[in-house]
Amino acid sequence: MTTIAASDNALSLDQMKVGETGFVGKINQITSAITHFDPHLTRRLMEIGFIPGEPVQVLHKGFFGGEPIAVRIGHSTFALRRFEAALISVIRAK
Amino acid sequence: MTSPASPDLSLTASSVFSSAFSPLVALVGNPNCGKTALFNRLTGARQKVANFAGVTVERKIGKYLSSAGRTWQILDLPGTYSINASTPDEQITQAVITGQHQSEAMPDALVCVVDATNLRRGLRIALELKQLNLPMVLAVNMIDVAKRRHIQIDLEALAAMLGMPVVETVAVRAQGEAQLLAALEQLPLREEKNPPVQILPNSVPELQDQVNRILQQCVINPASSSPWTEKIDRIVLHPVFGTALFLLLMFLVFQAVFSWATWPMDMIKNGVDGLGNLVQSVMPEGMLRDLLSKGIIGGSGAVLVFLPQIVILFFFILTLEDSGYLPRAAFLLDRLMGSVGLSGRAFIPLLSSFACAIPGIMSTRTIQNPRDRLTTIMIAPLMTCSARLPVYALIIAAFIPEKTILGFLSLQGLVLFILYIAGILSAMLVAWFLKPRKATHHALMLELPDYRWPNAHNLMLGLWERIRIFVTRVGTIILALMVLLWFLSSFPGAPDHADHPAIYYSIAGILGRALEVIFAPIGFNWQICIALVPGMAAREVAVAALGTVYALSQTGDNLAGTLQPLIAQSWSLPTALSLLAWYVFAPQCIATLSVVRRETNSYRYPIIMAGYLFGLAYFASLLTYRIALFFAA
Repeated sequence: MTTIAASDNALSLDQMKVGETGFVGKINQITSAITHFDPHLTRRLMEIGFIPGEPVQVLHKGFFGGEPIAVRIGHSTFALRRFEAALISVIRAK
Repeated sequence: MTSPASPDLSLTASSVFSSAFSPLVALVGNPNCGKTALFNRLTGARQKVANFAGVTVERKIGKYLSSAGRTWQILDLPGTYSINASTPDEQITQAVITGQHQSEAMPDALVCVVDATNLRRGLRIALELKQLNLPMVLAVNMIDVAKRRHIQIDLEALAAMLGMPVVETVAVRAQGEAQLLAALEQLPLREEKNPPVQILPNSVPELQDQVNRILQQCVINPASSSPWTEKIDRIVLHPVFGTALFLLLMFLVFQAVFSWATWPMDMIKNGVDGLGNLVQSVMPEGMLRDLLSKGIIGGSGAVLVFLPQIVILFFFILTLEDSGYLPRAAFLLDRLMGSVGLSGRAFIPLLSSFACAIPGIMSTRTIQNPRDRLTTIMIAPLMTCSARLPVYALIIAAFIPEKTILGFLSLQGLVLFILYIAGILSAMLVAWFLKPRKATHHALMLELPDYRWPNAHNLMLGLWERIRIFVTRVGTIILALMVLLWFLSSFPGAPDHADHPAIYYSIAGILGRALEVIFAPIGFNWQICIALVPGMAAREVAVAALGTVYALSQTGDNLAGTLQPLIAQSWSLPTALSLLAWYVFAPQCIATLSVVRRETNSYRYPIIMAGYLFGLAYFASLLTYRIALFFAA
């Protein structure tokens, strides 16, 4: 069994291209800069469905700077900013 | 010897209480699960149904009388992804259901509403709610959509695994609530309230594991998604096509507001004119006749005539809202709004502000960050609210020629569009000015729900609500102000051999002429100055006030229905443009300022808001007036 960090296909959600699919690995620890604005961000991401093992697909990216990112997670679609997506590590489906 | 009374077997669990007991049921569920539509269905409440996260901000309570003769109270709680709150909205839900809310009673029972096509997320909150030990029913809503997608849900197995009654509901269909009503009657209710409880945050992954186990047992084909949504989104969210579609949609809305509304407006106008003429001809000459025909009929008629345009604007807003398009627009605009320090989420309160800043400001409660929220509140009044539409429409119709340019664009529609854009651009400028200079990290987390056909029933309810509010305003505030204004404009009467119409010498005339000192540099005459004063109570009153003022300025039997040609004669084009510019900012709306005070809990922000809006309005009008004068010369 490969660990997430060791896998070639492990990356963060913001690095995925439009159309790519994968599974949620884990939610990374938020930095103090983010905590300042949103201390419960990790939990909130999990509550909207970013739970380890859930299937994800990147559907669309915004025109300017590639954000926001529209992501299919579970049975819902959410738009995230780049920094939010960067908190979610993903194992890319082959 | 007496025989013991045989127990009445027909007694159901809930009928053992005194008939006075009126149980309180709270509706809890994820955003976009159709909870508010179900609330409408249960209570017949007249409120709108939306498709995006966070519209259910206000406390909504309703009643219904069950067939068993019990009056149920239904409370619609803000949508939430979990009972562990993170937004002010969710905090309300958490406080109410745990009995910790200061002013709300703890519910006697809960209805957990879940979207049948998204049980994966919905059941998590059902499991959380179960920990509260309140009598509870699970309502699997939108079951019709799930069936169409061949999602099969074994309700009995679900009820057994969850340990609570499970019913299916279709909130948008008549009788779609029948099973829920029956289930509520069977709940083991108690008259005494549960004590308040503390809840500890649950582990989300553990809850999801439980949910996934339940889904495996009870649901076939749970992964089916909306067949249309992804296809539509390929165009709607496309950087180029999507943006073009957004602009086209917005532009069509404003064109429609002007072109479709023409004939119903003419009808209302002719009706009002006819009524005024009738009063004029049957009543004896005198003050009462003047008050009726010029003050009341003329004044309210001048506002009422804009009803068709407001109805058309709301038809589009409600349709876009109900279909699920609005969060997509927020997606497209997020980056642009981010560049001035706003969240894409602010788009939804700001769009509501196009109807009226008050619901817009109230819906900023869904913005988590206090600073983002404050910025959004401060710029909300710059979105052109529908009360400004009568003012715009009057001036545009009087001064902008009715012609088409480039073969298909209505010039009048184009000017209206420009005015809306001017409001938006100034809002962005103000937001940029308020933007923190340090880097920020604010989450978006905007749900893009599946597209739905707008529900005709809900659309009609929403439109009816708008018509009711508007006509009530015309019939109450506006009418009262018109009567007051008529008195101020009629007394004292003119001296003998007066050079001016009587109103010039009245209290209102004196006031208007005093204000003219301040407003003359931006081209406002004393008649406009008079109209600005009652316009503080409601912006559209300015039009009615102009109607009264000009009707009274006329000698003879000229009626208020002819306001538009009157102002076209007596104002210069620079004055008209200057008044349009003034209304882009329109600082005078007391209702908005009082809502800002309530929402920010301070006098500071409404005072700042009034000050900056007044400053901007004056500056913009001055600039417009001077530039227009320069070119006119």
